[in-house]
Amino acid sequence: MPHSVIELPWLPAPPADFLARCKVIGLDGSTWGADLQSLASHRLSSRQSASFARALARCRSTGLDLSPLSNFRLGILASATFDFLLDYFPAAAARHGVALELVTTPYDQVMQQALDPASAVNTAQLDAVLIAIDHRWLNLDCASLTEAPEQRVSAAMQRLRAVVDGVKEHGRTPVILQTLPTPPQMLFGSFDRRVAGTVRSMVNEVNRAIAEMANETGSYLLDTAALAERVGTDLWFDPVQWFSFKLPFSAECYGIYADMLGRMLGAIRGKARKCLVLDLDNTIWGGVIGDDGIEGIQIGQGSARGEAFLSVQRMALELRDRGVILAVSSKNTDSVARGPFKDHADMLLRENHIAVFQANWIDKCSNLEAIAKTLNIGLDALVLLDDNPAERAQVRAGLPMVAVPELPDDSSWFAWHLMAAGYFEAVSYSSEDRLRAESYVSDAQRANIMAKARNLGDYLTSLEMVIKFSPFDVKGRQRIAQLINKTNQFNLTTRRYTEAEVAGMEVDESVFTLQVRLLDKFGDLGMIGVVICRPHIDDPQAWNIDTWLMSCRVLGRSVEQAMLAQVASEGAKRKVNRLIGHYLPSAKNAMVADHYKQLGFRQIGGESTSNTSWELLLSEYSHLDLPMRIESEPISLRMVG
Amino acid sequence: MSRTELLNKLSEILGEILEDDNLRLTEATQADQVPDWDSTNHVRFLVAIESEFGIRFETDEIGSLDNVGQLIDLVQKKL
Repeated sequence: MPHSVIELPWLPAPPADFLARCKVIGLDGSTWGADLQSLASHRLSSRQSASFARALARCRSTGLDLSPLSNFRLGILASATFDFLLDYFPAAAARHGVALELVTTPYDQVMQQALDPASAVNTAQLDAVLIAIDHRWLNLDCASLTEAPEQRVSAAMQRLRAVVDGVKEHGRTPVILQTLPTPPQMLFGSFDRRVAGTVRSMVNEVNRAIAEMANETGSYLLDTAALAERVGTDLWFDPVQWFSFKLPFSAECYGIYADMLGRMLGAIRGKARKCLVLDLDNTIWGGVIGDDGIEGIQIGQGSARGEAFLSVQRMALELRDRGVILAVSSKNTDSVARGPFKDHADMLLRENHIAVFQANWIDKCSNLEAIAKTLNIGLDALVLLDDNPAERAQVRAGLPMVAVPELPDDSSWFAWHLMAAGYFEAVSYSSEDRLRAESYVSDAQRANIMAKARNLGDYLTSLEMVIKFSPFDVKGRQRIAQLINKTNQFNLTTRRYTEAEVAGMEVDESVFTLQVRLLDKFGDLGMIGVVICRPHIDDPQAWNIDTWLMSCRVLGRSVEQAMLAQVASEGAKRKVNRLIGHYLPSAKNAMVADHYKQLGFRQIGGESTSNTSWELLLSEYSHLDLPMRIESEPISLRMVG
Repeated sequence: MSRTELLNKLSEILGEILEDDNLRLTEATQADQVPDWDSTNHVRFLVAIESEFGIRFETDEIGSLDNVGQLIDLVQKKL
C-alpha cells in the first residue's frame, strides 16, 4: 500500500529524538504551543502520540500558555473501547492548531451520559461532544428480513436523536455526529443493495438520515463512512480486535481517524488553511521552464505525465472555486515563469488565478513570508506544494507553521497527497467563500522583498552534501553532452558541443575538464555541473573558462564556490596563475550575468549589457569553508600548463 | 530474533506504554505483577507488538497468554 491514508504519507517521519523532545516539553515556563504543533506534524506511532499527549497534559496542568494553539474541550460518548484511540487525538488536534482537552466517559454509557443532566459530559462546559457510535449500537449489525426494515431504521434514528437532544438540552453543547461505515459482508451479494432489509441498505438509509439530522440540529458531521470507504472496509473492520477488545475499528486506522477529527476541530476554531502556494517546475508542469521552454514542458492531454500535472492544476482550480487563495513561489526568472500562464494553450491555471506570483532566486521562506504579508494572512494559513524535498525541508525548518506535504516521485499522486492531508477542511460553505479567492487577486502583483539568509549556513550543513569532481570520462559522456546542449539558464557561454566533441576532450591533453556530481541526505542529484578550461592563447599560465554550467536545482547551495575552489586548486597544481571567465548573454542566461563578480573576479572587459570578461589571480584567491564534503577523483597531471 | 532480544524489545515497548524507562520483564512476569499493566494497557501492548513486528494475533492466542514467556513463544512462532 504505497499510498494509503492510514499511513498519513503526506507527513514527514518524526525526528529520531522525538520522545526525548516530548519529555522536555512543559518542564519550564516558556511557551510551547508552536513546538507542540511542529512536533505533532509528523507521522506518529501510537506510542509517540501517547507521549505527545502526556507532554500536552503537563503543559496544561501547570497552566502554561499554549498559543498559538486554540483550546478545545471535547467530550466523547463512545459505544466501544475508545481509550486507546484517544491516545492519538491530542497530537492530531495540535497538528491542526488545537490544544485538545478530553472528557471521557466509561465504555458504552452513551445514553446514560446524554440523558443525565448531572453527567460528566453534561456538566463539563464542553466545546463539543463527539457521539462515536457505530452500526452495532444502532442495532443494524444483522439483516431485517422478518420485521419491517423501516422500523429498524426509525428505531435507530430515535435512539440517536435521544442522545443528541439530551446533550443539547442538558449540556447546551454542540454535537459532532458521525456517519456509519458499512460492514463488508454481503448477505445476497450484489442484490443486497436492492433489498431494503439488508445491513447495507439500512446503513445507507440511516446515513442519509444522520446527514439530515446534522442539518436540522446544527451539528457537525464527521464522515467516518467516507474514511472507511477509502481505507477499505475489509481493513477497517477487524473482527479479532472487535471480539477480543471491543475496539470499534482496526487500530491501524486510528491515526487517520484522529487526524480527520483534528481537521474538523481546527476548522471549527478557524485554523483551516486559506492559501495554496504552488511551486512551478515539476510541480504544476513537467520539466524546467527555464531550460525546456514553453514548447518543452509537459502539461495537458496526450501524455500520462502531462495529464498528471493537469490534474494538479485542476485540483488547484477547484480549491480556488471554493475560496482557497492560490499563490506561486518558484525559483525562476519572473518573465520566464509567467510564460506558460500566458502563452501555453494547455495550461488550466492562468495569471488571473494567482493572487501573488513570486518567481525569483531568493529563498522560499522569504517568498512565503512575502506572500502571507501581501495577502494579510498568517503564515499558518499557507500550504506549500513543492516537488523538491530539499526545499520542503528548508521551509519546514525555517517556517514550521507552513504546512508542506511530502510528495512521492510520481506526479500522478500529487493531487492525491495534497487533498488527503485535509488542509482545507470546512465546516460550512457559502457563496461568499466562492468569491473570496477572486478578491485576493490584485493584478497578480509581485511583492518586493529583501533577500535574507535564514540560517542559510545551518540549513546547508544540515543537507549533508557530498560533491564529487572528476574529469570527463566515458561513463559521464552522455550526460555531459546532454547538460552542455540543454542547459540554458545557468550557462555562462552557452557553447554547445556534440557527444563526439566531448569524447575528444576526454583525451585532449590541452583541455581541463570537470564533471560535478552532488548528493545530499535526500538522495543523489546526479551530475549537476560541467566546467571546461583551455589555456589562454597568449599566456599559457592563464586558463580561459570556456564553459561553466550548472543545473538550477542546486542553486543557493554554494556549489559554484566549491567548483571554483576545485578549478583553482587543480589550476595551481598545473602552474596556472590566473583564471579568465567570460559571460556571453543569451535570451535565457541573465541570472548568471554577475556570476564571476559574485565569485570575486575582477572585470577586465565588456559593457554590462554585452559580453563581459573577468579575471581572478590565484595568488589572491583564498579558499572558503564549504558546507559539504568534497570527493575528488585524481585528475592526471599530464596536461601542460 | 533470539528470546533475549525479544525480551528486551518487549520490555522497551511496554516500558514506553507504562512510562517506565527501567522496566525489565522476565519470561515469568505476569501482568498483575507490573503496576499499571491493566486491560487497557494490555490492548495497547498487544497492538503495539503487532505493528512493531508486522504480525497479527488470533483470537484464541490473545486469550491464552499467562506470562511473558508465552508471549515470546507466540511472537517467535510468527516471525
